[in-house]
Amino acid sequence: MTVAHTPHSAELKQQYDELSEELPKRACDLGLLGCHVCGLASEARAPETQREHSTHRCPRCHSALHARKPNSLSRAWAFLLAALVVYIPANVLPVMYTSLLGRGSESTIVGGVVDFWESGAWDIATIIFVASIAVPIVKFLVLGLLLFTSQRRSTWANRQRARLYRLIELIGYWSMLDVAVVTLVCALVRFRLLGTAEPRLGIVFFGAAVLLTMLAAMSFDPRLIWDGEANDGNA
Amino acid sequence: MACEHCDTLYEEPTLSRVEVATCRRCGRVLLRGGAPDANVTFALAITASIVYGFANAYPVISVGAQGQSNAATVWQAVVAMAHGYFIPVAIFVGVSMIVVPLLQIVLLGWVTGYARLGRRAPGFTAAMLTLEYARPWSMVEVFLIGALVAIVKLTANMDVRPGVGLVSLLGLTLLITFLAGRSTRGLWTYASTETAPSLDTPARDRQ
Repeated sequence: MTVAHTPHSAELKQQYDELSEELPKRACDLGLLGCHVCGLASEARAPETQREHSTHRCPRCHSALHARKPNSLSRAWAFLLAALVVYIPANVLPVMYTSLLGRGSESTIVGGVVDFWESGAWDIATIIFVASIAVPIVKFLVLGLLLFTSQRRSTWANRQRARLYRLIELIGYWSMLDVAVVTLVCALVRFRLLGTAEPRLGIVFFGAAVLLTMLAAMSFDPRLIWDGEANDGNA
Repeated sequence: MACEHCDTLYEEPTLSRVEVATCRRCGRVLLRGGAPDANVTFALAITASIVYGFANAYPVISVGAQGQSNAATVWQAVVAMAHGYFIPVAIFVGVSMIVVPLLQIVLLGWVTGYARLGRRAPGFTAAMLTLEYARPWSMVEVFLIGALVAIVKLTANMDVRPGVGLVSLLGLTLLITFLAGRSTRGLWTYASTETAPSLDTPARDRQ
């Protein structure tokens, strides 16, 4: 463990490099189970650690303990693929219908970004582009990469992959931005003659895609990133 | 304790306020310094509950066009969405922007309120587990930015006025980020001792 003062940069980096030679043991190497809810490491009898469905409970928070989250990879793949499937209608179908002074139009997620851009609001266009288009695509790519490499027990760029996982955990839910916007706009713009705004089916698929990618990220056990290393070391 | 992201074992350190413990294997932040002070967290939870009340009672935005006007609170926005195919979306928005934030505030207030008295709150474990599971689904800040985008979107055609709810949402975002984002993990230290936990010396977990 590296302890650093809050503005950790060069100092921390240096300590990393100095210490990275001999890292502390991992819980799985010592027959301990780390609780993924509260972080406490507790002892487990050896055969228990081998089993997918452990009957052990964390002594502090009573959550079920698993050496690794059960079926982590297949669950994460399932959620990720489901998210990819619903992501298609989420982008093809319109998310909102607006009519102003009799002129009605339907807009898609991408269409909304283009509209903002063309009306000169490049800053808002950028925010929505990042939240609704860039973040989901980055999540698909990163999760796919993590799942693929973990499945092959790769030892490639472990620390960078761990950082990628933290990144998608951090940014994942920002894709809900468009859902919040559509919800608010549709609640506000309800003037019979002057204008109305109604949600369209695309937003349902879009919300589902965001939900599914979040579930995929949660199902993935980042400890798997490091398991290839342990294997190599012992072999 | 074990790093949640890579399973590396550490003896739980006692950190001063400005210190941050990072995992040497994967670089994840393990602990932030300064055991969460029950008094501070409790006071912030009370503040947050008041601000939460404002954020939900007052309209976030009101729009006007040619004499007509319309305003929406967070709840009204969710209800307006709850029709037909859009009910799942309304539920998702309602849960992540109304229910979960309230749950976080109430449970944190509950746990730290008892910790102030030097006691372990009834249902401590359940409350802490709920907090842990609820955190990823709390999205007040997304709603805040969503409201700002909506304002820009509507300004072109209508007369848009931000409401009290919007300002309150900003306050709520800051409070919840500080409350739930930073300190829930550290609160587990109150569980380790049945007797009065000292706020400055968190109980240490043995490997």
